[in-house]
Amino acid sequence: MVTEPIPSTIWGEPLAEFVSLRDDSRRPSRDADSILVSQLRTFVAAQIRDWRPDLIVVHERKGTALMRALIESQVDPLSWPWGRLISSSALDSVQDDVLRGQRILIFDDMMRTGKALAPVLTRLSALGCLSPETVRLAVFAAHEDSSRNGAFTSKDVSVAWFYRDLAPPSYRRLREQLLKFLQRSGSLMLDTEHMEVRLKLHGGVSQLVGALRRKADAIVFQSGGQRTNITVYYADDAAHRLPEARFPAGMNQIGIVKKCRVVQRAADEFAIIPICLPSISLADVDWPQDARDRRLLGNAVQGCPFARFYGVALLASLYPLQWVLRDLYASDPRMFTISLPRRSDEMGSGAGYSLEHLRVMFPTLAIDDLAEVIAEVDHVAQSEGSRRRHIKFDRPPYQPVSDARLRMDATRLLQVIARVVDERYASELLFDPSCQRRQGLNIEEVFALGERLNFDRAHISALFDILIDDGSLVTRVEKSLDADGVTRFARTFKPDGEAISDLVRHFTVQWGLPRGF
Amino acid sequence: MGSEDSSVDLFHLLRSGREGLQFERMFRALSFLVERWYAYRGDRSPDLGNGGTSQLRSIQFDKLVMLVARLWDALYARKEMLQFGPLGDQVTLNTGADAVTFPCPLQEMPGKHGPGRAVYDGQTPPRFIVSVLYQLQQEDLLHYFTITPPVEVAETGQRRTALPNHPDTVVGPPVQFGSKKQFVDRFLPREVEVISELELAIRRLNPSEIRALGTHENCPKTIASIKWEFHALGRRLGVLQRLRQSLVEGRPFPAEAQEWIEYAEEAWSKASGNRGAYAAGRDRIVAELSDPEVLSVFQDVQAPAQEIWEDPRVVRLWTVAGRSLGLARYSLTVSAALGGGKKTSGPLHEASAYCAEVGIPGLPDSADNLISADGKLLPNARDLIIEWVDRILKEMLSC
Repeated sequence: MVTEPIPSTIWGEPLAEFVSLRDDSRRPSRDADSILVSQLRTFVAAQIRDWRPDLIVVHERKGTALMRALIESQVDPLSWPWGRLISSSALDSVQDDVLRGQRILIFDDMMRTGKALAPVLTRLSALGCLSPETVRLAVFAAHEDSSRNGAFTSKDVSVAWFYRDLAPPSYRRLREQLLKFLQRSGSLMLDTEHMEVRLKLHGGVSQLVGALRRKADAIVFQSGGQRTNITVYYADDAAHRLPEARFPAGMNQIGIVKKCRVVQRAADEFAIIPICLPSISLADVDWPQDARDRRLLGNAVQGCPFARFYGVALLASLYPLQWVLRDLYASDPRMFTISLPRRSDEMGSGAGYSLEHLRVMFPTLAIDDLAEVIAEVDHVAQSEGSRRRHIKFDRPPYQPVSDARLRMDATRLLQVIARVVDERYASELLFDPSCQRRQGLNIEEVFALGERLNFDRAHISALFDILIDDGSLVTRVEKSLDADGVTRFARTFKPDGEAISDLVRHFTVQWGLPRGF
Repeated sequence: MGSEDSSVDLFHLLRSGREGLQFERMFRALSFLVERWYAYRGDRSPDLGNGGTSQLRSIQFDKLVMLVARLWDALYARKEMLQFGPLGDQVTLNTGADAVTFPCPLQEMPGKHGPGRAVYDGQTPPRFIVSVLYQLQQEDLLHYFTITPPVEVAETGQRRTALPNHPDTVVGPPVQFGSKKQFVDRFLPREVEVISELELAIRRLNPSEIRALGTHENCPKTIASIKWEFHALGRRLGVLQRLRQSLVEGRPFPAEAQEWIEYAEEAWSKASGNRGAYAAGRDRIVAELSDPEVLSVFQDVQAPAQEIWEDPRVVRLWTVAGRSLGLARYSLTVSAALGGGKKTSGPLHEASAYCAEVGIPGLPDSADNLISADGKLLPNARDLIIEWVDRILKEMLSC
């Protein structure tokens, strides 16, 4: 992307790991990437065979996405039931007896320091089931820092690894290769947090974009795996509000993530992934669920605020799904065919797809009920869409933004996010030198930063997707101060780990913050 | 470059060794400016509050770095270093001899009383510039400055060299200084012009003016900086909560009162006290600068004093800061009285009168109205003081 020659005023030599990436003769080839994936598959399969776990706990969003990519792979898929896989993020939402007395395999694709696994081990320890006889930690690739921190000499768990003691350049290279594998497999959105609906496109992408833009803004970009991605951003207007009665009291739906991602899966097939993440009150407030929602989400959302956040998010995502489908049906239904997720008893025929993978993040979710609810949403959207087909909105033509521009803007946004996270952490260190926790930014804070860069919200929303898919930005659920002065559980964002933070820090030192900061 | 690698495209621009050169050149530029400041024999405005006009102490030096780095970065940002090629699908580096080609590598990070320029690794607290330079000096690596911390007496009675960030640390010029030409030899022509302009602009400033210009740049940042003092005192350090508890228990609290005064004085200075020095320093720099670009950047970056201090939000914060400072001083005299201090009535009377002036009326103005025969606070006085402490704390935290 950078034109040569580099002027003489740019002092210094390119960093070694980038030399290897830029020099085609030394760059890891597609074959090398394939070998890595094969190693990953072999490693996980061997751990399953040798350890014979009852349950696999997958660490972090990227770990769950990798497991999903391996399980759903066209080539030599990994065989493992979704019901026996659980995200580390969902551990607090399962009953103790789901974990107690089980042989557990904790899978972490990449371990930097090992500290991030502490909550998982603490949870298991609290149940009295942390021992090397019952719990194994399987790490595919570990940074040299994790050995220094004693991750491989633990007396609490059995430990297995494929690569360990990796120096920073090797660690970063492996990480990039794994991310590329994910991007080729369908991006980080392969994770297990979001429902999806599939669309077969009979027209062109520009037609699809036109339909998606009926009542929303849309940005098109190519992911690292050369897949077409469309970010559909819904503004905080009257047409895109959630019915508050269905959700817990004190929920905030202004200034939240409220969008759809449309990700190319095959030449003419796309996944529609609705995402809506209201922030929820920390108090034990009333949530008068109707019987159907209660059955859909199960009991996890009652006791655990974290599970409640994701439960609310799942229900809330049904609305952007309805909006996007409505806009599609209102445009030209001949342009596409929607295929809905199937119930588990319909999967025998081999065709179609299910949402079983959501069990990883939502252990008490009634998958078949969800399939029914989605079918109803589709039905309502069809009906609403057909009624609105005659309404034409006067929208300006779509102005494409080049991928180069988007990626540069994404880097700029990442820089300022990283700067604010750093400043806040440095402030904490002033008063508490032992502070370890780096708070991420909530979406309103990121939007405010993006707007200082003169980006509009739809553009910023697409930049989020690029950064998340590239593994540059990581999402969390944390306590966050909302604009109304109330602290709630909210989606937060920060650079993905110290490796990325450090890279961004160096970039800022060498090239400065974007104008206006 | 194929788009498969585009996830890290801009990071390809990272250069090993670049940061070392950036630091060396920025330190060199700062060293030149400090040397010229010390060498200047012309007039400066009298400066009674900062140890006279002939020395830069650590805080003033820190603020000088803030000012220079702010201008340097603004000049650097004038020219987009990363630009799109004509087809919009390539990023090119736009560098040349007619611009500032590197940003200040020291990052603006939060310090005890607001931001300063520092080195930050993301793991440990930021290392601010005076500490960094002192370490380089101690390790015999860099002598672009002469940093002399004061000698202080430890609690054990031993004399020892204070930490370099001590407010009385003096930052002086390098021991040896060659010719200007030799010193700025490695800069590009435009960078030399900028450094020369900064030399002319800064050398006539007195330390208070440097401090004020480094501390303030515009209204929003001044507001944030005043609030920082309020919140640091109230929420983070819990000084007022500890002080309140001492009042309830009738114990002296000199350390808490002193800390409150320190933060309150800082807040008050930022909300009002620095205005005169800022305005004078800004006028002086505007008069000295002749390079149109540097002048324009300076005027953009350093807002006129009235834009900062006549903003109603700043005026409101000034009111709160004044009340906080008044009550802080009053509480110190109360603490002295609780500790059995002699002759507390005079200071109490003065502090009480000052409080009344800033809107805190009715505080006891003599020891007889404050302390009982057994040396405790009289209940009415105690309750009144606590009520005001609570009110002021609430006021500060609600800002």
